[in-house]
Amino acid sequence: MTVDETSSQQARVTDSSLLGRPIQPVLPRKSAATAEDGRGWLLAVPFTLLALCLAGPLVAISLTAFQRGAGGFAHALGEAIYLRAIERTVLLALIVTVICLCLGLFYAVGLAVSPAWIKFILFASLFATFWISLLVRTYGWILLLEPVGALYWALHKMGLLHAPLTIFQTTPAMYPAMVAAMLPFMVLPIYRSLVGLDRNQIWAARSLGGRASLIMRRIILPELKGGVVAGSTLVFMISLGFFVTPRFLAGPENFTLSTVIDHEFERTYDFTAASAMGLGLLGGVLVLFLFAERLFKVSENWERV
Amino acid sequence: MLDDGKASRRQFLIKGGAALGALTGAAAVVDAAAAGTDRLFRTQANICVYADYGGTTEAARQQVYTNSFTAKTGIKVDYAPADDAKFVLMAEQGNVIWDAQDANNYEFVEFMNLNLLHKLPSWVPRADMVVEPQYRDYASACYTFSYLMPYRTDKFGANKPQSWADFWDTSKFPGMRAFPNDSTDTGGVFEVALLADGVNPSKLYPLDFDRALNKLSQLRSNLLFYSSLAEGQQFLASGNASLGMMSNARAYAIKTQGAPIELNWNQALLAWSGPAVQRRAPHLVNISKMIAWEASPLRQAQFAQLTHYGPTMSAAFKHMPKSLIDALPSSPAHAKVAVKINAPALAKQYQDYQAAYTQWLAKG
Repeated sequence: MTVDETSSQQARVTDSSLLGRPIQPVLPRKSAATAEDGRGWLLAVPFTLLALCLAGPLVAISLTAFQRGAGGFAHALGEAIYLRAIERTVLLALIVTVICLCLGLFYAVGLAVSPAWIKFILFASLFATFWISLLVRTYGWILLLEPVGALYWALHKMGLLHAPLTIFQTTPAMYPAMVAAMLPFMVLPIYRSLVGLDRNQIWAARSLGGRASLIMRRIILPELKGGVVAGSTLVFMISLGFFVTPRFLAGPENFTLSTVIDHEFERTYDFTAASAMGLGLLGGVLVLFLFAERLFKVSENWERV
Repeated sequence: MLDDGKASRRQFLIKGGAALGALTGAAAVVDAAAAGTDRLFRTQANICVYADYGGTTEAARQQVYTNSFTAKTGIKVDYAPADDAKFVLMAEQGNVIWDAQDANNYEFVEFMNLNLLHKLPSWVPRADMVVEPQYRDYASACYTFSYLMPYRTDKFGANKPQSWADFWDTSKFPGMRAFPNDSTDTGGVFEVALLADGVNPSKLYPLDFDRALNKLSQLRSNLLFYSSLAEGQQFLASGNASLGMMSNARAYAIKTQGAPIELNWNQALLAWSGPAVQRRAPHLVNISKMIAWEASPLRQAQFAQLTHYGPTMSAAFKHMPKSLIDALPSSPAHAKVAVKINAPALAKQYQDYQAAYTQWLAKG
């Protein structure tokens, strides 16, 4: 047997008895709890949690939705308000995603290039919004955006505004609150792909005479694409089902899918139609996810964050 | 190697399955225990469940009625958030959780038309004024109230709004108006629109939905909708709304807390409200005892002192100073300019009323 010295990463052992095929060295397993270790039963805890908290309610909703056969779905689709809600919600999610994308790109670039102390502040702000309860943040937005709320007071004091604000209980009131809630989901994947950029490539391109536009086109943007797509898909999917912000900041005419479902459950007590609507929303988001996965492999990008 | 994998996979499945089963079993036991103790608590001899609209009125009820009732009889009053649709649904499905709900007179008539209410035992004192004779066996311990227009005096000091037409006049009286949306008590929204449109109070019922909704659409951009009575009070108290449409007691509550509010009694919509007892109430005796306790002239007078809701027992006036009597919804001065809600007529339309209003709210 001879060892091939030119390769340093893997030992190629050639043996005529093995028909010349290389034998891969056995690398140690990386996972801590595996079936072989006998500690695999630890997985039972998260699985039970998933079963109780995710699968259980889903099964209950599905059973309720099909109580009247297809009647629940027929009723839901027949309601004009449901179809309008789908339209409004998709539009809302699109607008929020676009705004998040623009702001998120700036934020991520700021995170990537700023000195350590600014980076710390930016990260801390991002995670602080993540960790403060969504309900408390939404109440904060109510106090900000009320006709004579905090924002009016600040602008009035500066002499910029003389009449009360009219943004409260309208659709535009939802945008800042939702963007603020979604920004971490957009910034983190983009930041991750920015950090993954190989500086050597940029220097090499520069030294070979490449201009900024070429560097942008050929090196930076393809790298960013993964993060942008991952972040946008995540933000869009979450925005479709967002409930707290439309419930509190929007007026009764700015309903979204989630508030319509809530209305069916809480006010008209048509549980079958409401469950059917909920399943419809879930189905739509799943289809969207499958598309994104097929086209852009988003789950890989989420794993990298 | 392959055999090892299969054996350890089987081991994993067995152990995992056992753990899963144990956890599920534990969850089921805990759930059953919780449900059992909950049922035990609810069917205990010493509670009754009353659904109302919370906020300052509930606080007043507790202060005047509930605390002394519980101290005297040991029966606890469990408060729940009121909801007409839920009340009806409970009775229809047979799964009655509430004993009674705070219902307005037109809701009373609606519930009686649907045969949902239980007749009060003979030992519960009856109302002897305001409540019409045909309802006195079902409605006791009631109070009078008015839907009216509170306004901020710091916005309209000299030029006061006097009528529902002024409520609609955004040029003379600018600012947002606090208005109920369909998550809370929506009584009176069509009536005030029709009155603002110039309909004669005696010709108000049956309500012309289209005319009312058209009138409401004119004001839509100035309406600040509140999802609970407390939110409406907060809008007015914080100055986000310059005028409002709510019951007199709610407006009076924020006035006593220091907000610069004045109540406009002209064209106020006068009605009465009280506990409507479910036919299959789970704690019938307890809720009847609670109503009997509240149907005391002295306590009705105390409640009136605190909230400015009027009594429905004439003996209560003996315990009230003249200044209080003059402040109540049914006082002579107020009753003269009030518009009385026609309960049977409104009850006939009330379900369509709520559906039409909900639809208009969603339409924008």
